[in-house]
Amino acid sequence: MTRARGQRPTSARSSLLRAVDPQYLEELQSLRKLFVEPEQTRLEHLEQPLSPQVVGDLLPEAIAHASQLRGDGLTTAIGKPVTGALRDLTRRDPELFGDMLAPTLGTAVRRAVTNALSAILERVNQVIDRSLSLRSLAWRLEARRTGRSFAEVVIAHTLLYRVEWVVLIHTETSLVLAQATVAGAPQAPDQMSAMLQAINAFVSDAFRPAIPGADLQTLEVGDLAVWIDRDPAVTLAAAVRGAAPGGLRDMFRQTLERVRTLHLAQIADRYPDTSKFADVQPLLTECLQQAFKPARKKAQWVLVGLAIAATLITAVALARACAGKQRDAELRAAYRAALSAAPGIVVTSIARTDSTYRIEGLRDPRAEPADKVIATAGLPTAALEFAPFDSLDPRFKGPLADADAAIRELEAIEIPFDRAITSVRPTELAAIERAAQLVNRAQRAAAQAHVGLCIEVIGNADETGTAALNEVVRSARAGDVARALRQAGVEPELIAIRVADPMTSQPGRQVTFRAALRPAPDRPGCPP
Amino acid sequence: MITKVTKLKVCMIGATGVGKTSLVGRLVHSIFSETYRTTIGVQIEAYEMHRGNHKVQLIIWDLSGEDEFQSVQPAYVSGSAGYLLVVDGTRRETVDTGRTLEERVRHAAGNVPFVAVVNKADLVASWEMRPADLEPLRKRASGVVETSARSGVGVREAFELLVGAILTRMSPQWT
Repeated sequence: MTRARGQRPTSARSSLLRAVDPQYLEELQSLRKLFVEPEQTRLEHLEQPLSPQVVGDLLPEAIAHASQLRGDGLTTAIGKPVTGALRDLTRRDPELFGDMLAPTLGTAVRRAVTNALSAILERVNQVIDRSLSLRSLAWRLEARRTGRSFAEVVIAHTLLYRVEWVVLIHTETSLVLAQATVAGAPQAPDQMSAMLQAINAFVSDAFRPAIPGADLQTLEVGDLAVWIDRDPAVTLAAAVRGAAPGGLRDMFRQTLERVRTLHLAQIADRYPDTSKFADVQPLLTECLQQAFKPARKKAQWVLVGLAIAATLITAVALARACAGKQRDAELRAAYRAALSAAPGIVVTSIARTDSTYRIEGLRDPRAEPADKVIATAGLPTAALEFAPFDSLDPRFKGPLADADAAIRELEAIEIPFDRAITSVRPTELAAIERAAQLVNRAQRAAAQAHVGLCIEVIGNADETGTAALNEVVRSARAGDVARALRQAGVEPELIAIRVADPMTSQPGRQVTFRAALRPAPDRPGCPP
Repeated sequence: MITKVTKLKVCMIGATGVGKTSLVGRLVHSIFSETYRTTIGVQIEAYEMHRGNHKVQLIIWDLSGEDEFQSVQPAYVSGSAGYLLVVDGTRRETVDTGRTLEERVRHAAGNVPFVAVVNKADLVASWEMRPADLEPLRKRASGVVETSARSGVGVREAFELLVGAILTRMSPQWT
């Protein structure tokens, strides 16, 4: 039973007939081949297992591609087989492995030693810095006051943040799979993780309506925070003390992803075998980050500044002291030089009182007054105390020296008298003559020196007789010598008749001379 | 020498006042305050037992009891490897509560092993419960143990039975 082509089927019966008609089936196959053969061929090709040749051709590009897009994932994925291959190689052919390592061994050892030494030096620096600074002294006091250890106080003051422990938790059972700790490990970690899970459930239940996927992410207790990164399979809980950077959460998340990649099968297990997670330990240890506050250089600079200031102050004080001492020495030298330069002045001591100098010494009456010498030299006034003395300074030669010499000789002459006699003995006329010569010589020298001269003729008497009589005798004897001098050529104006004071002078039958140079040459003779 | 360590989360389930905490208290010294149980509804304890060279660490979630004001938090029983379902022999209604709880736990934690614990064995003369009351639980439980938290009778055996059932479920060769 056949039917013309192009005729449309009109009933279910005719369709069935066509379905079993071999000719119709052949036509249908031809039609299908025409329409879907290319796709069918491609599907058959894809369903065939990849040949090693095809995989080999694609493998380098595939690894490069995966390395670029999923670096950590690829590293984690090939880490295990590569480690296994290396372990197998080491076991089978240790010599080959030794040969491979030998060229790098020396470098590695050197680097390790260098790093270790650097770490030791750094630690020594820190110890010195923390042991000798003012801050460390304050911290030691604080440690003693609070009863904490010094290390605790140092960490509390210098720590920026520290991850104290990290726990990897199987989310569904809240059992601890692995943990790493640097300080203050959680007490009973399994119970702690279970309690975290309970608290998370409690919080989610307490704050309804619950947000799907929203979990407790942080617990804070004082400066300690527990950061929780949870996914349906595994949870990472980390205790962070201090103010940690937000980037730390990214690190925890990456660690969680690496764990998931490494243990995809184990964490999917309802009852994970915790012994299979030993290789997670290094990953968790990497999470134990910490950072310390940078050293407070400012304080050190303040200390350095204070030290410099103290040094400067000391230096200035020393300089001022030295300058004062120098000035003092210079002044003393100047006083001594000025005074010593003047003839007839000898300085014996120069002492400094609070604000002035006190100068002591000897001064010849013929010398220039000391205060005048000081003023002439431009030096500050000083308290002066000079005792008189006779200077042998050759600069006193000249008129004054001659006058002085004549006076000294004159004053050494005594004219003796007989008892109760007031006239000069004839035998003493030579002495009178000599005295007259000396007076005249002194007068000439004084005139040359523009000074005046006064010759006092002093009469004396013994104790015999009354005082009144003796007074007369004294005066008479002096008058007679004065007369003799005048007769010998002495100008009368130069002579003054005096009597010895019986109270202050020794009694005796003689006449003596006392001469004095006077500053006023315009008024010759002795003062009235 | 310990060759294997297994950690297990197990729960204490039961109506209020059946003696769950007292049973756990026979085995462990708590490190957390009792107030946790009343505030967040659970207290966590740990207990360690040995089966040959195999060390089993139990993390025991002692849940507050079921009553008209509070019910079992599903998240608390999720992930449990097994549980002790505690009933009070002196109060028959705790068996009904236990059956309800068993269904809820099965819904939240899956079909995990459990041991039915009939507590207050020291007051057996005052029991309201009849053996037939336990039949529905007995069919599904890994075992039924009579205990006394006061005397300690049966407590360790209950946990041993539970752990044995869990390990058998996990890997038959471990038991």
